[in-house]
Amino acid sequence: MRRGLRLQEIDIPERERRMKSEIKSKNPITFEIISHRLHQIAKETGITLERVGGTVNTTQQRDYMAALYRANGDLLSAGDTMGQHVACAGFAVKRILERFEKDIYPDDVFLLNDPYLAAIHQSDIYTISPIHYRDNLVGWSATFVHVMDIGAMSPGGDSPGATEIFHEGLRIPGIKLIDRGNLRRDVFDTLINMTRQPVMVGLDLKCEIAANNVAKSRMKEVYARYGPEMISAVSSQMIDYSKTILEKRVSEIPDGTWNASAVIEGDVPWKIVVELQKKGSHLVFDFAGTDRQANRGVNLALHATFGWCFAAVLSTLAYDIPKNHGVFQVMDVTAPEGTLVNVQHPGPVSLNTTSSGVTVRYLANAVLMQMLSTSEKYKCEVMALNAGHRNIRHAGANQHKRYSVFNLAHGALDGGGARDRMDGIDSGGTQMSCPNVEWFELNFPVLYLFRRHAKDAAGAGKFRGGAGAETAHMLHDAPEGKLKGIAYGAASAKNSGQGTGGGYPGAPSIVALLERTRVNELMAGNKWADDVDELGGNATLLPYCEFELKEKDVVYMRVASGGGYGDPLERDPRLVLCDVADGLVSPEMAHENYGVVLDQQTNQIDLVATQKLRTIFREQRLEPAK
Amino acid sequence: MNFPLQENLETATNAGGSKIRCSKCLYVYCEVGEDWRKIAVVKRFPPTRASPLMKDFVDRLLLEQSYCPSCGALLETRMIEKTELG
Repeated sequence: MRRGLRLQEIDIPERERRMKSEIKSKNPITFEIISHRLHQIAKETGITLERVGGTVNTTQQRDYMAALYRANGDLLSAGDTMGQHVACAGFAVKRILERFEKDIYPDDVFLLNDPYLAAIHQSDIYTISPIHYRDNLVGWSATFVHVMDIGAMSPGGDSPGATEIFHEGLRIPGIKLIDRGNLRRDVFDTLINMTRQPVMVGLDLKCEIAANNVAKSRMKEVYARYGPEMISAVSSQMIDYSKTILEKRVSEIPDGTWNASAVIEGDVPWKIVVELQKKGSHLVFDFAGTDRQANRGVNLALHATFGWCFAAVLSTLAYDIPKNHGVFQVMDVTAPEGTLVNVQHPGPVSLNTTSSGVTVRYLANAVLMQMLSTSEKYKCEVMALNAGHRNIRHAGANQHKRYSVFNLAHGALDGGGARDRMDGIDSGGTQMSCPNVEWFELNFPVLYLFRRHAKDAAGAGKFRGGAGAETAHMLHDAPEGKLKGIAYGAASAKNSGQGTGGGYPGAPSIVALLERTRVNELMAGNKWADDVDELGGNATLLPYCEFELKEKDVVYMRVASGGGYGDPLERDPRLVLCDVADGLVSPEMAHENYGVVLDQQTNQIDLVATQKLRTIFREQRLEPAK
Repeated sequence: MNFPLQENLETATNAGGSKIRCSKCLYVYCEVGEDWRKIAVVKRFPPTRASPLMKDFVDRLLLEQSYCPSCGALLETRMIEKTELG
């Protein structure tokens, strides 16, 4: 049976409806002030997470979300945080409303991380605070951070060996952590006690509580200043505004259907298929044809699939309008039950954010890009895509002899896709961030051999893709002489940025373990080991798995680079020369892919020879294949 | 009425119907709804043609490119599994 997901609209009282209809025309300045204030409150809530938190995930990598919701759980305002979580936290608020109904009081705080109800995977705990004004429930603040551990079979949550949800740690369908301002210490202690890092997880939860307190405090100030009717009227108008603008944009694009599919490589290939149906001002993402759910944690619940599609719509069509419930109303998502994108209990999910999640976003973007390509007005928004990257998490004793879990967050160093007027951003990454090398080395027992842009990785094109990073690291000052490793992330030979309009794909993301290398010998000889080929050792490409990093071993990681846009033979040769000078393109690839001839003596472009070579290459395209 | 399909490809509609054509040389490939790739010149290369970093995938993947048969404009580049070729 196929299920659809669409959100309900709310009823607005008559007086408020009238105020809403008048607010933008009669008092546009107040409307703008309040709507921007709400956006700033959501942003400040996120910044509070970052400032109060103490873990690498929250303070360095920005693996968090903060947003405001209306009393019924509809999204009111999101800060600059992840669209998929903004959507799913709204579902979490609705689940809390259903579960606690008449047991919701001022200064309560609820937790929810059940991926079958609203969350994406258990590591992302939604912390949800009702906002009351004069004892009336007027809204909600919701946050999440990716907690340092969730008691799953693998440290940190992402568990390659999990075959059912019960292997993946705590699952909270909704619990009251703070009751009318009083922390339920027994509940708090019980939760953190079931993780490998109770102090850090406690810190995670406390920073979420603190952030929600900031949101509540700011919202109360706004309510006190403008009154609940005005805030409610502006809120409704903001949602209408986003919906109206987005509907207008969608309706300006020709109707049609567009298809895409992608494969996640695990024990077996897992295929996700989507068809975008666009009619009038409405979008439907239909995932019929997607493989059955897997016995590995790469599955998504339907609400999470909706969330990742929402993220794609936000970044392609709605990046410049307020992120709120109005955007939801323009889209539906359908998927057959029991598939990778509509998982049923007890299918595992722990790996999903970096596998099916990013793949759904990639596919949703792929069909949206096809759709935008058919519009003269919106084709300028077309961008080459990125299908995700591999990642590593380590666990073990650090140099301070404390057990620690940390991921390397190199996905934040992905190369961005090219567009019809500009190159992709080098190390553009996602909305997350990556700590600097020194920060990692200060806190964790690793030594980086290098972290740099990978040469010849960016997809060639008239505008090239952004270059992703390549890194190598090894143990350093690890008291136990080893660290556990967990390899995860979108595993696919084709997980690079895909080119558009003839642009080449970027190099894919890989993780390789080089065992028993010569790294110590090289460094003892005062030679820096920055060439992987010189390291020697046995190299293995790591699939979804756990592994052990030991002395003399090196982990080599390369994240995805962006795809190119258009024909590389049309690229300005001066830009190619710059890329060669910056070490992003080798002279060989400048010649082969871009048809640019560089004078080896002067290191300048030989324009005549370049023009001649490009003509030859174009003629060769039409010669019979050899 | 004309509208773009992607870089170097567009649809053109006139009394004769809607066609897909090269936006560089206006060479007509097919009717809208038909597969323009059947008319394009298609060539396949080792994946290392895109980047030497694809060397780990030479046994599995091919780089497939489609060109305008009239002017040689590059229409599409994609990575395909060798198994897709049957």
